[in-house]
Parts: sequence; C-alpha cells; structure tokens
Amino acid sequence: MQPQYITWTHSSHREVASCNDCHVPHNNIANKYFFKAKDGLYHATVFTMRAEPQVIRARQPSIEVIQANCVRCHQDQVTDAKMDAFVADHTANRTDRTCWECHRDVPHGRVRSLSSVGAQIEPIKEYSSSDLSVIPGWLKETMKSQKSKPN
Amino acid sequence: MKNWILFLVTAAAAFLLGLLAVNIFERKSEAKYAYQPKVQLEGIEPRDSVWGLNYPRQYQSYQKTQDTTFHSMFGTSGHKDMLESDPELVILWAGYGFSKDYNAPKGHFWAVDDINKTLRTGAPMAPGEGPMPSTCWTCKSTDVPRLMSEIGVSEFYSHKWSDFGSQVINPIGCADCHNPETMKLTITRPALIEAFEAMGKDINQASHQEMRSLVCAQCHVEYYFDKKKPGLENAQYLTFPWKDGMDVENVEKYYDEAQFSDWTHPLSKTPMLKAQHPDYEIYQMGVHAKRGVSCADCHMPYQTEGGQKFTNHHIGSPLANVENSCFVCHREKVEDLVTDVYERQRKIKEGTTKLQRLIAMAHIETAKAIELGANETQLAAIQQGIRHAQWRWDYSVASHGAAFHAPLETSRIVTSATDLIQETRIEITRLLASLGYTQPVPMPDFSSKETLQAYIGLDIPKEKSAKQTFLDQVVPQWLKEGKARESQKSIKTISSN
Repeated sequence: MQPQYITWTHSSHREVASCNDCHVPHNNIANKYFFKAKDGLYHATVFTMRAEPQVIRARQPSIEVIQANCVRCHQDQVTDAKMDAFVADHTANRTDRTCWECHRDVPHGRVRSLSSVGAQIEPIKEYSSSDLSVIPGWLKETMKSQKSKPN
Repeated sequence: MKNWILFLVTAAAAFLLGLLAVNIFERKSEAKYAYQPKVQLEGIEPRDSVWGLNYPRQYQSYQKTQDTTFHSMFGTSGHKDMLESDPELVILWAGYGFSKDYNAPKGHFWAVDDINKTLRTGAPMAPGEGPMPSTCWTCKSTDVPRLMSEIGVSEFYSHKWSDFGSQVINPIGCADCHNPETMKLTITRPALIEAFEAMGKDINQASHQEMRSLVCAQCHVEYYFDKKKPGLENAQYLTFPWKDGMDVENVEKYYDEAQFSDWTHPLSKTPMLKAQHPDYEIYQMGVHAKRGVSCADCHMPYQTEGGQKFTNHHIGSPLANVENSCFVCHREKVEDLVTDVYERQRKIKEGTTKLQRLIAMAHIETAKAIELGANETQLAAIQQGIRHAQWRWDYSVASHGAAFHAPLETSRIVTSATDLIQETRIEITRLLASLGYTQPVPMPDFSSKETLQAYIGLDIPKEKSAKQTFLDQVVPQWLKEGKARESQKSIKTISSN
C-alpha cells in the first residue's frame, strides 16, 4: 500500500485523519473490531496468495464504511439542520451519493498505482532516525562546546 | 476417527498460518529492496548531484535555478545592474563595496559563481588577502556546514574570504535544508538558532509548516557581523539583530545601542548601516504570513509528474509559475493576479525612488557643510537622521519582494524615512545658512552610474581588470583543488536500478 500511504501523506487529510479514521466503522466498538478482523483476514489472504492487484480498489462493504466516515466529520458541510426540518429526505438526498463521485482526488489522488511511487523516504516514526531534532547533531555539539569555552 | 479429523484440521491450520508468517517475512524483506535509494548519503554531502541520484525530480527542478530568462516588471532571474538602473545608489553607498558593483540576485545555482565575480569581493591573489571576511561564504554553499563541522563555527568566521576559496565550490543546495537520513527540513546555520535563543524561543518547537519558511530564514534575513563578541574578537560573527524584535525600528534601536556601523560614509562622515535582505522579517508582516502561508508554498509550489506529487525545487519568482503557486488559493485570471503584484511594486517603487534621491542629496549637502567647517556637535543630529533614513530606505528595498510581501509595512517604512530625511535636510539647510551658505548645493548628474562612481573617486576600470586577473588565475585553481579534494570522497552505491 505504498502508493496509498504516500498519497495520503501528501494530502491535507494527513493532518486530521489516519487510515483507521476512514477505513473502519466508528458507529460502535464491536462493529469496529468485527470489521477490522474481517478486513484484516481478507488482506492476509490476498497477501498470502500474492494476489494483490496493481491498482487497489475499495469493495462494497468498504465503500459504505468510508462514505459513513466522510459524513461523520463533514456532516455540517453536507447537511443543513434548518433544511432538514422542512425538506423531506434532506439528509438522505445529501448523503446517498458517494463523496468521491465528485471529489475524486480526495485524499489519495487519482494516480495511485505501484508504478507511480519512486524512492520516497517513509516518514513513519518507527523507521526514521531517533533524532528528530531540527538542528543536526554536529551543529548542536559545536555550539555547545563554543558556549562552554571560557572567555 | 474424530481425533484424526481434529488432528488433520489443526495440522492444516498450522500449515496455513506458517505459510502466512513466512510470506509476511519474505514480503517485508522484499519491500526493503523495492523502495530503496540508489546511493548512501554519508556525513554532510555537499554535492547536489549525489543527492540527485536518489531524488531525481527534486534535483532536476532545483537545477533549473540556473535559468536566467525570467523577467517581471522590476525583477529578473538573470543579470541586472542595479547601479545602472538606480545610479543614486552609488552616492548612498559611497565608501562601501556596494557602490562598485550591485546586481539583482540570480538563482541559487549561481551563488558561488556570482560572489567570485562581484567587484565587492575584490581580487585576492593569495589566501589571506582581500577585503572580505570568510563569513561572507556562510550563505553561499553546502560546503559551509561541512567546513563548520570540521573546523568549528567560530573558526569558520575568523578567516578571510580568500582563505576558503578552494573549500567552498558547491552552490547552495540539498544539504543546506535537508537532513540526509530522513529528508526532514533542518537548520544548518547557527545564526538562526542563536537568534531564536536571543529572542527566548526554541527553534526545535517549530512546526513543519514553519520550517518551510525557517530554512529560508537561515539566509534571507537582515544580519550583521559582530566583531565585539566576548572571547571571539578575531571573528566576524554572523548575527541576526532580532533580540528586541524584527521590525525596522527595533533593529535600528538595537544597532544604535550596540553602536554598530557597517562603514563611515566618506561624504557626510555618517556611521552608516547597510540593510541586507530582510525577506523573512518583512514577509512576516504581510497578510500571507498571517494566513500561515510559508515561503515554499509560493516559491516552491507542489507539482505532479507521472502521478507523483512533489515540491518543485525551482525556487524563484511565483510570477513565473502563477498557475501552480497563486492558483492554489486564488482562482482568478493570471493577468489580474500579476497586475495586483505589479501595482503594489510600482507604487512602493515610486516612493523609494524619490526617497533615495533625497538621501543622496543629503549626503552631498552634509559634505558641503563639513567643507565649510561644520563641527561635530552641529552635525550629530544630521548624521543620526541620515543614518536612520538610509537604514529604513535600505530595509524596504534590499528585500526585493518587500513591496509584495508586506506592502503596507513597506510603505509605512518609506514614509517614515522620507519624513526623517526631509527633516534632516531642513537642519542641513539651517546649518549651511549659519555657515553663510544660502545657495543650492551643486549636485552631480544623478542619471549616470559612471559619472557618480568617478564623483566618489572610484577607479572602476582598474578594479575590473584586477578582477579579471583574479577570475582567470585564482578561481580555476580554487576549483581544481576543490574538485581534487571531492574526488577523494567515495560515493557508496546501494542499488543500481
């Protein structure tokens, strides 16, 4: 899922939503873990069989979950409480089409096959160096030794 | 029978799980090879071409900073002689290197080439010669962090510019802003870190978005060379005057209190200040900074190529790339956006053009008063006025983007300087009158750079020929030595794909 990961880290959703925020249900905790287990087993099977497609697409159960999660955060942008009071089916009308029918680039962009990713450093904390400081080590040391030098 | 079935099912499950586990390990080690860089960046690698093997898109776009074909209303990515277009500058900077040669800035690619070529650095035929300290190299090259880490920061500041000619051969590049292991943005110049400390801030707390401006602020700021640093009297220590604030008045006060001057003006005998390029400071006072827009957002907009989104490293005027920079927020006609920028620039330029003429006249008028025997007490307030007015003028023009980055602040600075210099000129007129001189002071021809350079006693042809000898004899030698040193350092290849 390198392309999926890289496209997400270059998107605005990087700041506010991680994989699980969109890709597992958040309506109740039991459902969340049931879906997670089901999805995980499916992934493990595909992975073991080496049956990954070049381009990964969401399946129907996943589509429903993602759509529900779009609405979960963007409720106020897609529905209007006042309209809801006097327009029948307002909420349904506003939320039954998938968001990405129009917002096709959100958040992974359109081109996300394996071949679209080059050598990019994974900005995952786990794999990056332990020193995440802005100032490089050599400079820190030089500056420190300069300060401690007797004038 | 039942037991047999249980046994077989368990065996099958265990086999499948084992298959999965092996597969996971296998694929994990495979992933390590699939996305690996081509070369290992070891230590501080000053050569962009080595980094470029791993990051071809960023490298190739960065190489485009050598483009010199872009022109806007006042700016260009190519050569423009600023003394030719605004000859009064020769008078304003009389006695200082800038009166000899001052050109519009070109792309990062040219940093080392241009500092070698400018008349300001003189023609040092041997190490230790020449007018400039080694500190001048600080913002020119990726060799600087390497050299600083080898010999120490204060030592780096304690030499002559000509001492490091063969050490500093790569222009500004990757290693100036990026951590070679993580590619995270990093600060490699101590002055910015020290300035943050002086302001009581910790630069490590900066967010990624702030870092997208702070890496630029390592150099695109107002600075001076502190020669009075306790214990480091031999050093010309690069320092940002930000302790009391970044705005023009506070920095002016800072310099007054430190009794600092860059040089003494030979005409008006004023202890002068030269503003460098307070780009970061002025941008901070504009509406874009207020909205959280960073330098990179406009000067290095995102771009897609073959489906990959990356930061375009062709750093330059956003006017050359309005569609990718401005359009992200402003979906308007290109010509409307460009007109908006030009309008601000033209209006500010109107003010600064008048202002610089007035300051030039004040210098010449003060020289007349000195010639007629004005004493120090009579001159003190006048010189203070000239010092402050020219500082403020310089602060507003030296940052080439000021008129757009913060038009209101820039115009406020120009107004305050115009007021200062006119008050001062009234004082000069009074002083001249008290010395018995009531005529207008004769002025040189302000429309010709050459006339004005001769007026302040510069021999430019001589300087130029010395420079040419230096460029022909010394610089190739520097390059040869530098390349020989670099060829000692091996490049570790990890993968060939």
